[in-house]
Amino acid sequence: MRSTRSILSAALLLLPTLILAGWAGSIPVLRADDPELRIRLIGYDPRDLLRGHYLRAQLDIQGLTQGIAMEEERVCLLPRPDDPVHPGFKPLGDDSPCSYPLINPRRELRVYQSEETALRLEALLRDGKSIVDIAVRFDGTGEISLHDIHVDGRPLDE
Amino acid sequence: MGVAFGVTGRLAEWQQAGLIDADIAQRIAAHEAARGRPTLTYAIIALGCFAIAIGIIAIVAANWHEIPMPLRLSLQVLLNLSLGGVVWHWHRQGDVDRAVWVEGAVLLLSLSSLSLIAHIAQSFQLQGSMLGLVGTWLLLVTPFTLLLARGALNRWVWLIGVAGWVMLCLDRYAVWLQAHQVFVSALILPFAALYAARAIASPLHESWSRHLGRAMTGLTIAATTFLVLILRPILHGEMNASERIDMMIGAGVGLVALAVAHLLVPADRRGARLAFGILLALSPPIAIIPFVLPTLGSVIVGGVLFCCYWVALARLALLAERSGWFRLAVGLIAAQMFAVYLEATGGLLATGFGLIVAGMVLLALAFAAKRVMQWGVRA
Repeated sequence: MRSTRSILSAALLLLPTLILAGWAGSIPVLRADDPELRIRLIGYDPRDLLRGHYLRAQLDIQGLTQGIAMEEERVCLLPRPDDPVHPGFKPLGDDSPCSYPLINPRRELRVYQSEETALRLEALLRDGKSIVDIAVRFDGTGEISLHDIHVDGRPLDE
Repeated sequence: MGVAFGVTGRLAEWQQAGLIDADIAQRIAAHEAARGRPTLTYAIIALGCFAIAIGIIAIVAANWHEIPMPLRLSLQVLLNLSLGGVVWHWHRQGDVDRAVWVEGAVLLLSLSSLSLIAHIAQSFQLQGSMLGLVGTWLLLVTPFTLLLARGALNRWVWLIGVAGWVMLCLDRYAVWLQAHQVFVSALILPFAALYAARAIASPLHESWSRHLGRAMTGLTIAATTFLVLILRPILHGEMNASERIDMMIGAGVGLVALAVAHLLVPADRRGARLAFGILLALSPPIAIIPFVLPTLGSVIVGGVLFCCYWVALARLALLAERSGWFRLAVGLIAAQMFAVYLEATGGLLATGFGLIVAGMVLLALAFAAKRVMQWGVRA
């Protein structure tokens, strides 16, 4: 009885961390084949762009009016060959297939950057003279992950 | 003779007052001297450890971007596994002296798990919600927290996490819940479920049952008081029909859910405990009635209901010999009466005469409250 309880305690204490470690290890593998679009970023609010090390921004989706973010809003993004960083959208139906489903398209994105980089990006977004875009991966359920920011078509580090 | 401080000073005072004799004073002084701890040494050690910890955190923070992401994540995973291993080892030993350390390590593991989830999300730029973060954290830490934690701090951290998660869920599904007129019901039901959870005897430790019972009764009474005494008077305008129906459904659901949750514990089905359960179950209707009535009626009906509610609580507090609750009841009833008075007199307060009357009412209330408190102490 005592040994069963001891094993149970060990499992309850160690499993959460092992599950999280497994999750972290699986993300790059599982997300590698997710469909991806490069989308332009627009500033979320110039007065409140920088908080901590997060750059706060929104996706610039063609025809989507800025407004209150709603969790229940679901759209399907439509790539536009003539303007690749400004995809269009249509409401997400239950029956039609969609490669780029997105929940809450007006959501405020949080892009983690170093403090210096975040400050630079903030200035670029505020001025509007440079084009800042980011690669968005779609997991198929409406959730997304972000990586690889470009400024005027070049990677941020250059 | 100089002024003596600490134990020596107290002993001298007690000796002078005739509470203890010289022999007992000497024995107490000897006992305290024997168990005396090198406080200064401990303080210096703690200060040194604190300085080193802050220094390490500062160095890590300053070079955060220089540390490769896999290494950062691996280090935190290792830290969490070590904490889990330490808690398991101490818990297995069953050493009572280590109980505080187990509590501290469980708390650290719980919080470090939360930060690990955030760390992973940050590292892979996942755009998850706060609801997902808190939900995942609760899913992972609830089993070991409920099984191993006994201390108040761990219990409160967990309970605040659950309450936060419920609020985030309500926020997420607010539009749907309001459209179906079940928002208030959805707000009350999780707390009734937590109140019911105190009936689970095993494997929950009795400290959890006690904590859940006290926290949920306290929350219910505090929420009722806040809604009637503070929120309703400052809310102008009336609810629309849909909101009224939502609130009335919530009042009914809350009444039944809290009554059932209370009756689940056999000891709570008799005498004063049963009366307290009835009062607790009546809390949602009492809190909601002032909101569904027209403004003028709500002031009078809400005021009367509130006073009856707290008079009943005061009576139960006397029976249970809880003088603090009794005093609180008297104070709140006085505050409610004064709020009703202010509402009723309205524009009179803008005049000098109105201010004089208000002052006299306050004095009368203070006098009445003092008399009632004295009666409570005598009873």
